[in-house]
Amino acid sequence: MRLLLKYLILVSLIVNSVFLTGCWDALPVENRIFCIAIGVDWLPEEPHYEITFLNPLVEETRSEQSRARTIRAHSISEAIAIFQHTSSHYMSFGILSVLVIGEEASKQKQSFTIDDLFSFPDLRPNAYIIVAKGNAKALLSVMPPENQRMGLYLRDLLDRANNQRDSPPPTLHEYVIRMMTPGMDALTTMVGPIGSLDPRATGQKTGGDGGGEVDQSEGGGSQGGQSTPEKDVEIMGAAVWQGDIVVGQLTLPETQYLSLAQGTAKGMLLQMLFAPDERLFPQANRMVTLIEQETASWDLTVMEGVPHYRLTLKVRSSPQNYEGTSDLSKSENSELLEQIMALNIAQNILASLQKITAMGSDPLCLGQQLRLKYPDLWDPQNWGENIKNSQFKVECEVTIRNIGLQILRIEPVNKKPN
Amino acid sequence: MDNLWDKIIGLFGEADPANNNQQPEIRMRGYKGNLAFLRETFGNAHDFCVREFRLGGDGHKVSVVYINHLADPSRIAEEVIMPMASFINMAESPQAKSRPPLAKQLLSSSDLKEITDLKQAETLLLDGWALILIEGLNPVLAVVAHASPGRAVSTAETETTIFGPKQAFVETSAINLALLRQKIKTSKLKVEAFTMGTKTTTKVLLIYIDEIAPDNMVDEARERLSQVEVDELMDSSYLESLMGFGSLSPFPQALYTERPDRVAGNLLEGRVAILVDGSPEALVLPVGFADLFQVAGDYYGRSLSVTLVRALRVLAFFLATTLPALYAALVSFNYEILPTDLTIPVASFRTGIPFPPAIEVFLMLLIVDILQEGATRLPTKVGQTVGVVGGFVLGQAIIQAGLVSPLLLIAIAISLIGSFAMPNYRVIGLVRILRYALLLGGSVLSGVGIMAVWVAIIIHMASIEVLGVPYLRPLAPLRMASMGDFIYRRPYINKPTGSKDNEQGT
Amino acid sequence: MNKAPKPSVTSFQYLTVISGVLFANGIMSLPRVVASDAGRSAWLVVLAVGLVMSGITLLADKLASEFPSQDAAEWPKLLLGPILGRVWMSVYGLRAIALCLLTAQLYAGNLSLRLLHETPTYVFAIIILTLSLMAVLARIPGFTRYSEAAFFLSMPLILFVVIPFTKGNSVHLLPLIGDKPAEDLFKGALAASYSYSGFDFLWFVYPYLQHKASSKLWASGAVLLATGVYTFVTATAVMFFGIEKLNIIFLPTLSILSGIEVVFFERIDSLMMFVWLSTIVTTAASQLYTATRLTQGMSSRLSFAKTAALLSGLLLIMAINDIPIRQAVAFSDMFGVFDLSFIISSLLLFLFLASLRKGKGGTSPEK
Repeated sequence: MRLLLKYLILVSLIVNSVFLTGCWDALPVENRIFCIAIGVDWLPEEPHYEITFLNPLVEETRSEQSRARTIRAHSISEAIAIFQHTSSHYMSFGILSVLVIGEEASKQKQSFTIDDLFSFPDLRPNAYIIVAKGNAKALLSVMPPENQRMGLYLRDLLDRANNQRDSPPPTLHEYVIRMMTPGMDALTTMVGPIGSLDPRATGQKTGGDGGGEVDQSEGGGSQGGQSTPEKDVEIMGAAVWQGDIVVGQLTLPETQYLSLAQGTAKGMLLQMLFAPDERLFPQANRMVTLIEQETASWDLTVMEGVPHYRLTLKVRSSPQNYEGTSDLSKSENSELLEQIMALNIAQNILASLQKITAMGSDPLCLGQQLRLKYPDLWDPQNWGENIKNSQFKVECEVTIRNIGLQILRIEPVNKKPN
Repeated sequence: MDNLWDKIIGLFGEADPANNNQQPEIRMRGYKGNLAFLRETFGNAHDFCVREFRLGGDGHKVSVVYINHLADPSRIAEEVIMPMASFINMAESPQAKSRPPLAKQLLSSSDLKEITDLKQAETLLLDGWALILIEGLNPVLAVVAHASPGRAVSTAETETTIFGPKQAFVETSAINLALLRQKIKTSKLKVEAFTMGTKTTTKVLLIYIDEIAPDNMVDEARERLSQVEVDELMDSSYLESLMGFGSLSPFPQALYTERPDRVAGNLLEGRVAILVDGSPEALVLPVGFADLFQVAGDYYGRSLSVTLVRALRVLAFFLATTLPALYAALVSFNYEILPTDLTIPVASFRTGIPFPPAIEVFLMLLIVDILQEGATRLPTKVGQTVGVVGGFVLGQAIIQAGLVSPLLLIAIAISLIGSFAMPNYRVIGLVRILRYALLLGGSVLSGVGIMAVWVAIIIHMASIEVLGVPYLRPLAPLRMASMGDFIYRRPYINKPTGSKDNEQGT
Repeated sequence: MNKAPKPSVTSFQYLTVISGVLFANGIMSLPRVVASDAGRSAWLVVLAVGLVMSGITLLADKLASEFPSQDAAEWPKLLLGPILGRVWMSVYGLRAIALCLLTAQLYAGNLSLRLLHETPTYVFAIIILTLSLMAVLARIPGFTRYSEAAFFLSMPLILFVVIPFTKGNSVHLLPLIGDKPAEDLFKGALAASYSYSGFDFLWFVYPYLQHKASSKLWASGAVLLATGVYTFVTATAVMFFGIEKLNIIFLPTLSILSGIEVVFFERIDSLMMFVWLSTIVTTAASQLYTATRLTQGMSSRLSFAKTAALLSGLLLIMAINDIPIRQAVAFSDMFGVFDLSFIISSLLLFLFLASLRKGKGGTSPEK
């Protein structure tokens, strides 16, 4: 009996082994080509899309270089299919770091692009999605400093933006959720190539080898890239979406004020620009302040069919580089500064809110508040238009915790010698 | 009168062993017949010795028969021949009256038996006893006269500890039993003797502590031992299979130890021990998966440090078995599980390697196992050289030749070192088998394959019961009381001995 | 079972085997399936269904306690008579076979969809069925030990769901009630029923239980544990994705895990799929055991091992036919409703008959 059972188990194991000799899905890593960044650009002529794939070079172990390949196609899937025809490797998206949408492409509906991407099961859903100032291909062709891989350099830049709440980029997951949910639009970081942050740069662009190389692949029109790649990238602000289309842009300070309005600005270094004020800012009227803590509470009332939103903001901050002449240790001066800061913040937030609502975008989930409080008035289909009628009121209270000493500057400022 | 004689004899000897060999008895044939039988049985064996003399010098003939070097001739001369040769009371009849005087007065041996079966006489001769055949006396007397050809008690070689006792068992079961009795000085320590092996007639002792070891566990052990029928029993390792404990399973279902302290500790926990004459390793039953990660030295260190070390062993076990398979699975199938910053270097290392990852891993495992086997059998100095040549030179050369990737070598090295962290060689054998099985699963079906093999392993372990005790305890069934000696070793507290974790059948 | 089985199953094993059987069924697609009808109240519906199921489990345990040393392959014949009893056992057995096959096919389909696309699904199904046969041959004592080990393996993975829970937006959960009408909530409740299929396996474990006095507590505790997990996962899925996106994600439980990146591993959803095999085997093996015992209950001359092997072989042959995953999920929704209806109605009937039998002073060996 036991022998029979053992025989049965053995037979089934052998049968299983026959079935299992296929290794159907085995594809070693060396037979794959990884995509660490994808750029999507749109051109007026057919095929409209120009897809740029950024692939790291793995042949040399210590190489930090990448290769950017550009393909003209009708969609990402088609571009990948064209690529597969010309390569012995299999394109894999498991380590995708960034999806870059070009400025023109962002004005087209992106839902099917995203849909296309998500059809690849190994797609990394934590990849960031950003909008490029100008051309996605140009952005991905930048040779970053210290010979780093561009896709990973971008990723590190965006990680820092996330941590410092400096126009934080959404991941693909977050973007798709916002894209699909009425009353909840996305705000994506806008990044652009720049010459260099080094003020001593002569401005002469040297052709680097390796990093910014662009290949033309068959099937696409010839689209010349920059002959000399830029040296660096920087965050320039945010792209404002309505569903799956970009409807406008915000500068970096405007984006920061929106973060304040969302209540997600803790840890942010806010750049503030004040009107000239002889009491506090006789000369320089710029200041950076660290937002240490903030609470943002929203209230909604509907009057005559028009939503009235009221934002109450409490901010605790520490100015980092106050360059005025007033002695802030005196309470009358610090209280005055607090009032001026509060007013400044309130005005800027209001301006940002009015700007985005005028575009018909709702990254602050204002529509969801309407849905919850006034479900009868909620019209998800037309919220993009209805939000333009919304009225806002911002009340801000600022507390300065610490004056602090002057910190290292974020960007070079030519100081006049004393 | 015979009953009285048996009782008297019983004062001098231990109870007859349970003779499960079922050998047919051969009746006594009188002095000449007995001697002739023995001569015929042992033929011309050069170590078969017969010393003939007369009682008191001119009395009845007496023959002392023994096997040289199994019995000690000087001891026989001192304890048997000289006392008997000097017996001068010739008026006493050798029958009836002379036996008690002989037993009590003449022979100074502490062990004396009266044999009525020639087959038993033969067995005792082979066991180092000396036989006394007296003319006119049908029964044969046997006295113990062992020559102790075994080695002295020394330190444990395979189970070294930094702290604690260092004694190890020897090949003589009587000495081993004595070592145990030195540790457990209670009359509750019970010893049951068995004889196994038609050719070797090896003595086997079943040892347990009454009132601690569960009765049904002891009964089952006794029954299994009784059912063993074999020609030879050379070592205790035979018994695991012979007693029916998973001969086809790679999992050790008995604990082998050469340390008396370890056996004593297990006896006090309610287990049974088996000593086999001729084997320096005792068998402890039942044993579970958790026991494979314990060593004797765990009980002589501080609780927290021992706990850490045990946790490391368990981690080492899983690394040793699963890491090569995980490498094959992740590199071939699910690279996206690897951290992003690791994927590109992995791909870089794999570039140019001619073999698929699964074959690469399999070849390296094979080479490593062959090296390991080679180094084990060779003398120490040569073995060290093999280790250096194999590990360093071969590894370096194989990387430079581009036959395997450096990352794989690291994975294999970690796996190998993990296997060396296992407490005993039998567990290393288990690790080797599991390693290949998991590699097969991981190579074919990625993590699903690895998990499928682990599930099969767990089901197999869950189905094993050793003397009614589940193999997976204390994890399954979960026994919080026993978790104090799994990975975590709870500190010793003031508590009377004798309380046991009764895990029978649970 | 001619003689009383040896009590060898602990109370904790009772809990792990019941909850283990429940977990595998439908946790992957449960949030979507319920939310498509119940909307934002999906998690409340799941919780409510779980509480009801917990009560039903108490009744099932009570029925088992009427026959302490016999399992569900014996007492239907006592209650319904030899012919009707066997008819019921046949239907019950077919249901067990269907559930076993469905469990294997669903997991195989999910694997094929998410991870290993080229591998035929019957390969996975064969592996599950082979492992299930091994588990069944270990009998109840060995099987419950395995289920305990599988419980320890798979439960920690559920803790990873905490990470997307913290990242979710609670606005998606609001309003708690009122988002959908009552009939939609009821439809959602029916859709959740498949996730609770299999709790009746306790009828086969009960005779081996050591401490039968506290069995009700542990049985209902098992269902409540499963309910807690289901509710938590559903709430997280709704919070994380929002209703609009949730309705289009096929396997939301895996999708919420796909975004988690920890130090050594990046795709927790892949890890989850691997480790989940252990729970799947628990479920499939429990149904294979049920079918085997019921078949054996038809005739006392049938050998358990041979019957198990035969049924397993039959399932292997059936598993070679690939069922597309979406069809399998749709079938599971319908199956869940039938299954629960069958079990609950049988339960109530048997309880009634058992009480009548007790009232008439019906003898049973154990009493």
